[in-house]
This record gives sequence, structure tokens and C-alpha cells, in this order.
Amino acid sequence: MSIQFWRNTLLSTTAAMFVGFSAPVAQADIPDENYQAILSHLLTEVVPPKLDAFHDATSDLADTIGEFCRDTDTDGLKDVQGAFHSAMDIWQEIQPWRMGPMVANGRDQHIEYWPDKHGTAKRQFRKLVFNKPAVYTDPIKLSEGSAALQGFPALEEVLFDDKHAKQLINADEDGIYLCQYGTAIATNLQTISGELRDEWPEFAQAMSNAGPDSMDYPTAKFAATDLYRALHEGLLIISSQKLGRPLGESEKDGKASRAESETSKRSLRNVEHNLIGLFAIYDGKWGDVGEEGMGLASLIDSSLLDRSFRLNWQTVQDRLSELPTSVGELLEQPDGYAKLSDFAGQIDFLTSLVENDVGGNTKLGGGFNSLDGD
Amino acid sequence: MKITKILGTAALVSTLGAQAYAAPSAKDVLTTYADIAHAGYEDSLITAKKLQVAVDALVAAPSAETFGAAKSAWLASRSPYQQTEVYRFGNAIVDDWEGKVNAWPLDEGLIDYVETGLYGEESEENPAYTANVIANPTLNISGETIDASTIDAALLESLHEIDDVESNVATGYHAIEFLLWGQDLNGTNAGAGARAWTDYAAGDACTNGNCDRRGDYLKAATELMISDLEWITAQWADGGEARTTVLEGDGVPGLTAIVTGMGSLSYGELGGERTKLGLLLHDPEEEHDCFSDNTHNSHYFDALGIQNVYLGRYTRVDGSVVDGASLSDLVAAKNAALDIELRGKLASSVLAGKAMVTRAEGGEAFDQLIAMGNDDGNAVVQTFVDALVDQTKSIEQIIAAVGIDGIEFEGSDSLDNPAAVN
Repeated sequence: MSIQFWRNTLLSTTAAMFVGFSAPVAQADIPDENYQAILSHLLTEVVPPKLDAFHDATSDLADTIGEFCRDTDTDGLKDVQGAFHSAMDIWQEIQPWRMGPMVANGRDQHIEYWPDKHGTAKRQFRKLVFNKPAVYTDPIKLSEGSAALQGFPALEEVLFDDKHAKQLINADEDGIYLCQYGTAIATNLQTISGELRDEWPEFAQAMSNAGPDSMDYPTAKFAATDLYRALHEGLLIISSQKLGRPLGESEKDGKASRAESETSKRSLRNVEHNLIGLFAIYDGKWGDVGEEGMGLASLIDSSLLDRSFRLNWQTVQDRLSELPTSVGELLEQPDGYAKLSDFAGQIDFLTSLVENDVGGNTKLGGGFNSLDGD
Repeated sequence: MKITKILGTAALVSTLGAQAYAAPSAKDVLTTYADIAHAGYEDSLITAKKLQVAVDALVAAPSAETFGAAKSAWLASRSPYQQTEVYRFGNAIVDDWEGKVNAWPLDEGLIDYVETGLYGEESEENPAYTANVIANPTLNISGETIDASTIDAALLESLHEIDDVESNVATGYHAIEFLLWGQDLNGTNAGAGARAWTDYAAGDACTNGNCDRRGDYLKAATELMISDLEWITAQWADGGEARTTVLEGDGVPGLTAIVTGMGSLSYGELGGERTKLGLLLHDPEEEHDCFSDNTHNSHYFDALGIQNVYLGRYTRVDGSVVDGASLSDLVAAKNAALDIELRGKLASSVLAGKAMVTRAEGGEAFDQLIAMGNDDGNAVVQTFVDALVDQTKSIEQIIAAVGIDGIEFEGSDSLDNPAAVN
């Protein structure tokens, strides 16, 4: 489904609202203090409570798996799986905020190494289970090891893969090792999320104080580019990786196993939470935190454009809520591939709105991102 | 393969609007850019032809000496080619073509025998994971029977990225590298691939079987690479499509290509995919020249290539220099401080690349540098990544904050009537 199709379809409900838009090129320069207000609101008020929630969720995950491993049974495993989902939900909301401490030293990759384009995680995991190195049952040493073996995808493989789940419950030799390894991963995630929470305020302060005295951010506008980039790149990643990889080149090539978190059957649930975190960049409100209109939206000088953008975003979220939580379940439906392809087209359309309308009106478009290259 | 357009045309046009300082014309800058591209690809061709001579000698008279000479010729061929990689992102004609010569990473089991304990025997993603063309005159891939009785350039082209799997790399530098070195089975310990020259020996001296077919493969892959390099060199010659494209119009597309290439290679590709990823995974499979352990050089020459196009200066393999008006001159005319800053950062990344070369020449190759627990080695690689990320920020500032003002494009709609461009 083309972007043009979705442009026509989604705008049909709001087309009348576009009359009278002023072209971005005709706008006056935006004062730097306007960018500063957004930075201050989003980074110092909105994000920190979410990082607290993430740390709480990973702490609960570590506690739950620790308890399970002391006396393994089916109910206990379900509890751990539930704690995993709770932690993943909040992580998927935070994940698109790729800036500062989130990406420092590859922190986001340590939390979740995905996509695994070269099959490295599977290869390393296979070797790990075969060799059972003690070093990977120590959370501190684990943190110095491969990113592919220390975050959510590795823990997902431990908890949700059918064979491994049976081994955990049976507590055989492999199961005992997997329990120790899984506990180390959860403890490592707890540590990483704590470091992220603790390092964030300094970064937020530096961004909020952007100006000539700052080496890294000479203007607030330059700093705010990171917010725009996060919004833009987040949508690109949903389209090209989270949906694009399982879609492949054609229906014949479609493969659910290439989706994110497909072992735990939550690949589309991830997208749902990504969209929540991404919209907060635009809106300024994230769940019960923040204030509506205090994000990038505050720079949009047309209420019609703002309303249109919000309506289109809501349309996409509504569409997603009608789909199952995983790509695998969707592709099992007779028209599943077409539905997934349609949805990817909607995300592409949102991306084009971000590039043309948000990027143009906020004057924040452009720059390089991690997807440049192959 | 893709090119991410990072610079809106309007963004550049808006910064090109006023003549402020004396500066070289965009045409002159882009002419230098095209001249360096042509020289770089021509040097790649020249060194590939030397590789072909060495490969022919190896296949005709296999010995430790001819085998070593072929490996040396391959290593020499990498230096000029890697300096051209900055032309990939931003020039669609290059990006669409380069997968034929430098695709990476590869599932080498498509080509020849592998040690399956390390490599595995199958891949969910790749039906041709262990197809082993050299051992099998008839291949069956995804239900299709392929006649591989004659190994020639046409067969290799047909197998390249077969089944739409990018890691089915049948052609180019890395296929040849695998045929010369074999798998590196040392993990993160010292040592490269240790293929023996006897893999090309005749009669009973042949090791691992099918030596004649292995020689056929090596010759065909080399021949094909020369043909591909001849093609791209022609595209950058006078009247060639690549040169014509960057020089046409008001100069905005050409300047966009330069900056896009510098930023995309610095950040997403070299800094991210090829370097940081290896560090994150501590995995020797994640190195660019993984069979030969030549990754330090590949990375260094990539960084040097980025510096070349900014400074408008390239030293050819014969020692002669191609130089002329540069993007650096354009930036300096508008904002000397930014030019100095970027020159410094580019020099830092080249130096950081050189530091990896020095470590490798001292016996610690890239796969050892990224090993888990090698804190010093990890730091050397991280310094290279940091330098690349840092220079990307300054490259962005050329456009986003400073622009490339002061250039007058004669008779240009983009200057006189920006709305016509938008």
C-alpha cells in the first residue's frame, strides 16, 4: 500500500481543515527560547517519571525471576512472563527516545539488541547453552559481555521459547543454567535502568541549558533537533524494521520470525507502546505525566495542522488496536499480509507528515541517523 | 542498499542564497570531487588487475609463494577501494552497484567448505547457507536446480544474493578474500584464516577437494570484479553518468551528495554497523575483512576517504596527487571556525583509525581489539567510534547551522527563485 494511498485515505476525514495553511518557508525564525521550553518540559518533567517506572518494572522482574528459580513451577513461570511483559511495555515507550544516556555506550543496544541482522544472537545463544560459561550467570560479568546475550531478547529466549520454558520448569541441567542466566539478565537490566535513570538529569539539564556556552549544544534549536530526530527515526524504525523485516519483499517472502519479540508474541504490542512514547515527543503529555501541547506541537503555528496531525496519529493507533498483538498471529489470517502491509503504509504516511509538516514548521528537519548506511 | 536523503533541497538552497565571501565555485568543488572518484576507482581497477595477474599465477603454478603473492595483491587492492566508499551514500549509481564488489557480511558456506562446528549447518534465513558451489556441480536452492558444472562469471552473477538473501555474496572482494584466507577459526584470539596453498594444488596434493573448481571460482570472481570496476571507473570519467549527475544543475545535488556521503559513512555505516556493533557483540564475525584480519586497514582507509573528499585531495597509488577546490574551501569562506573544527575532527578519526592499524601491526588485530575483557583494545576501537560520531555532528552543522553560503550559481533557479526548486 503506497504512502499516497494513505495520504488520500487518512486526509479524507480532515481535508477541509488544510485550507489556508501557510507554507513553512514563509514562517519567521522561531526564537530559541521556544525550543528551550520544549526541552525543559520534555526532558526534565516528562521523561524522569517514566525512567523511574522502567527501573521499578525491571526491579520487579528481577525479584520475580529470583523467586521463581528458587522453586520452579508453571504458575511461577507465568508470573515471570507477566513481569517481563510489564517491563517490556514501559521499555517500548522509552525506546524511541534515542539520545544522551539512552544511547551512551550502546546502552539501548544492551537493553535490547535487535534487529539481529546477521543472526549473531541465535549463534551466540546456541553456543552459550552448549558451553554454559559461568561468567554469564554473574550479572556484573554479563554486563561486560555481548549485547546480544544480556538484554530483553536473550531473556525472552529463556522464558518464552517452548523448549527452554520446559527446561526451566523441569530444572534439569540446562534449566538450572538458564534460570541462573535469566536471573543475571534481569539483574543486569535492573542495573542498566537504574544507571539510565540516574544519568538522565544531568543530560536533561545540559539540553535545557543549550546555548553559546555549551560545547555540545550551541543553541536550543540544535539540541531540539535530537527530539525531532527521535520522532522521525522512531517511525522509520517501525516501518523499515519492526514491520518491514517480517513483511520482506513480497507476501511469499513474509516471515513472522523476523519480527521483534515474536517469541513472546508481542511484536505489534511493541509498536503500540512505541507509538505512545513517540507521540509524547510531539504532544508533551505521556500518560499521566506532562502537559498536552508542550512538546514539538507548541511550535506548530497552525491549529488546523496540529489537529490534523493528532487525528491522523489517532487513526493509526485505532487501526493497530484492531490487530492481534503479534505479527505471527496476524500473518496466520487469510488477509493478514495485506493488513500488515496496509498498516506499514499508515506508518509511512505518518513519517511523511513528520518530515513535511512537523519538520518544516518546527524547522528541525534533516541530519543523519543510525539507519544511514546499509 | 539504500540512500537516505538527509538534506532537503530547500535547506541547502536557503543557505546558498547570498554571495558573502570569495570562494570556489560549486562546479569547481564538484569537479575535484569527481576527479578524486575517478582516480580512486581507477586505482582500484589498477590494483585489481595486479591481483588478477597474481591469481592467474597461483592457479597456473600453485605454491606457497604464488599463494602469498595473491594475498598480498588482495591486501594492496583494498587501500584505494576503501577510500572510494565515501561515494556510496549520496550517489545512487554507486550505491546500486557497490554490492557486487564489496557486499558484506557473507555466508561463506555458499562458496566453499566451512567448519560447521563454528559456522553451523543451516540458517533459517538462508537456504543456500551451505550450498558449497565449489564442491557441487549441481545445486538445489529453494527447490531450484542450478547447473554449476562450469564456474564462470555468469554463474557467480546468478548466484549473487540468490533468493534475495543479501548474505549470499558470490562475488567481489570478500568472496575472493575467503578463497584466499578461508575461515578465521581463531575467535578473538590471534590469527587470520589459515587456508593452505594446497587448496589450489593439483592431483594428490590437493587439500579439501575440488582444487580445480576452487581455482576456477577464484579466477572468475577476479575477472568479474575487474569488469565491475571498469564500469564504475567509466561512470566517473568525462561524460560518464556519475560525473554528469553530480555536475549538473546548480550544484546543490552534487554538494548534497558530498555531505550525505561523508555523514552516512561516518555515522550509520562505519561508526555503527562496522565498528560499534563488533564492540557491542565482542564477536569476530562482526568484522569487515574477517577472513584476512585486514579490518583495521579497511576502517582506516574509509576514514581517510571521508577526509579526502572534504579537503579535495587524494594521493594515488603511484604517489601522484589529485587535488583542487574543496568543500573545505566553501565552508571556510563562510565560517572559518567550523572549517577548522571539522578539519580537526576528520584528522582525529583518521588518527584513531591509524591507532588500530598500529595495534594490528603489533600483533593485535581488530577481532582481538573487540574481544570481551580486552579493555585497552576496546578503548582503542571506541575512540575511533567516538571520533566518527563527533565529526558527524560537525558535518551536520555545515548544513543545519552554518550552511554553505557565499557561492553563486550562475543562472540558477535555486538562487534566483527558490520557490521553483521547492
